Amino acid sequence: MDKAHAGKLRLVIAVLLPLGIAAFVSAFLFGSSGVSLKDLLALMTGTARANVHFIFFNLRLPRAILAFVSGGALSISGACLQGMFKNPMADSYVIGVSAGAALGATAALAFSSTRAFRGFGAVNLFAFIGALAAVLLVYRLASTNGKVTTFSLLLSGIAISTLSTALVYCFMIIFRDKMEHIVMWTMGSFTSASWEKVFIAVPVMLVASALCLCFARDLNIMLQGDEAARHLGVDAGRVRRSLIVLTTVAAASAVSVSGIIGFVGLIVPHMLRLVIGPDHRALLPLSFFGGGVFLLIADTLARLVLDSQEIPVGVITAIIGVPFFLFLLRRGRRVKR
Amino acid sequence: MSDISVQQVSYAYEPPQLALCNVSFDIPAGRFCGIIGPNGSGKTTLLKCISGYIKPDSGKVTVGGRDVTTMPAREVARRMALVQQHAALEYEFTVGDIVLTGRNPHLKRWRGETKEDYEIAMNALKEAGIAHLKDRLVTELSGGEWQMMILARALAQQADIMLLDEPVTGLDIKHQVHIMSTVKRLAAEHGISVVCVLHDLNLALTYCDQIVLMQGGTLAAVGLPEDVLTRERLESVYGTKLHILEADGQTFILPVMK
Repeated sequence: MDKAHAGKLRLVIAVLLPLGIAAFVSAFLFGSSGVSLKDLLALMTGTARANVHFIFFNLRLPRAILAFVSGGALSISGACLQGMFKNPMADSYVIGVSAGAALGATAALAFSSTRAFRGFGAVNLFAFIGALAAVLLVYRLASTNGKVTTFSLLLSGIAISTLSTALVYCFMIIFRDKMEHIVMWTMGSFTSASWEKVFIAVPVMLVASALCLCFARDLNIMLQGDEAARHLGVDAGRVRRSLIVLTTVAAASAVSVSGIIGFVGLIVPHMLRLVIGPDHRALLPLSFFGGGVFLLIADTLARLVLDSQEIPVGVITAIIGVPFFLFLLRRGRRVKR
Repeated sequence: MSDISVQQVSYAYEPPQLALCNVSFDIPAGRFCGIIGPNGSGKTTLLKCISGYIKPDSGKVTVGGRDVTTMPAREVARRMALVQQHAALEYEFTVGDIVLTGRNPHLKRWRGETKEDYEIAMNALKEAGIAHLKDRLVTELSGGEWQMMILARALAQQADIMLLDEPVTGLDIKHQVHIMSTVKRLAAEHGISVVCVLHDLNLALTYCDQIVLMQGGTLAAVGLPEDVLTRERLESVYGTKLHILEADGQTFILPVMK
């Protein structure tokens, strides 16, 4: 690693770390019920009022953890898939995660399934299963003689996503009374965050994301092409299969507890790649942390922007993410010229 | 050092049209073997079978007595390095980063590169004569510099076989000679066997000590360059008239211009 690159890496870490701390503090402070800095300090010394204690431990802390880890999982999944497909537009949603999850969640919402397992409701479970099933189907459709090309995987992903979305619309027409619930779910939100969801989804997302990190060096080598990768000791097919499973589990877990939150898996890895370069050994861990911070800030803004109600967090990620992303993209191109 | 044995290899991309048909020959360790033949004669397919990247429909390729298709990727990479045609890499890695990836087959799964790996990669850069390009981005390299980088990566692998797929295609004559003579020198210094797909008959004649001549997916001839590269055989295989000229003590093969 040359000195300029190491300097940029240090700069990104120096920006992200305090930003992350600020994002967590903001997530604890801001919301419909006021919590002051003094209250936070009182929490640390065990002298906080009961209502502050309740708001912090039962509402804000699980929500902040869920938002941070979900953002991290979506972001690292996007970074892995972009590297794996050598395609900057790839993310978990392109291979069917979001559409499959939406179909699963819609089915559960339509049939008013209220069953829950330790706080993990049928909607979450169906969303998770829907996402896994969609990706499995995409993979099977894209597979010819045991081999899966990037092109066929992306096209199959688009086809299955389109079909799933059409089925979601069918459900919405048939179950008109559930339409608002379905639309709100597809926009993404952490309103229903709970410790139960944290205990079930967060370990899955963390383990899947940590295992993705193990493939960072392989991803760097695969950028040189599959045949070159084989002669550098990397079985690209095996790495691709492993990463599809890991990124799908990570993203499906995030989507199952939050609904569909777009752009995180595209924007965050891209922004980081523009600054620190394509080395996945730095890109993947920073994508996880950056994605977490980004979604945590977006979720806090979702609670703050309107006085009367929350805005879906997916709307916020698009509104603040896309202009910033386009700015960096144009700036990056200008620098290259 | 390992012998390579190609045993009755057949392969079809789209059956029943055979890209390779019952091809057999041996490459003794330490040889510089050139695979030549007209376009579509199966040269690159044959190299892919030797490398284990594609599995023959029938027959097998062994390296040191072992079937290459049954070897794990890391073992293949420790024994055979690949130098492909120049292909653009859009990602902004440095030359040093790419050459260091040559050490990957030797790294333990959960460990990074050691000081020794960095030294081996640096030596490979020096031996290829491109140490000054170490911190240059690969997106800024010329075709010749790119090929020397891939050659340095192959050296860093410390494999005893080097496979080259049209390594000088698209390069000017200065870089063609520079790359081929560097491969020849390094192969001799390190005792590396070389299998090289070439289009240029004069480069094959100059640098190779064994020639495999392919025609329509079959083996037309194999042996020493002076035995294989005869006017009659080449005119028959390439379907064009040729001049065989002598100048400055060297033999040159040129097509008769119409």
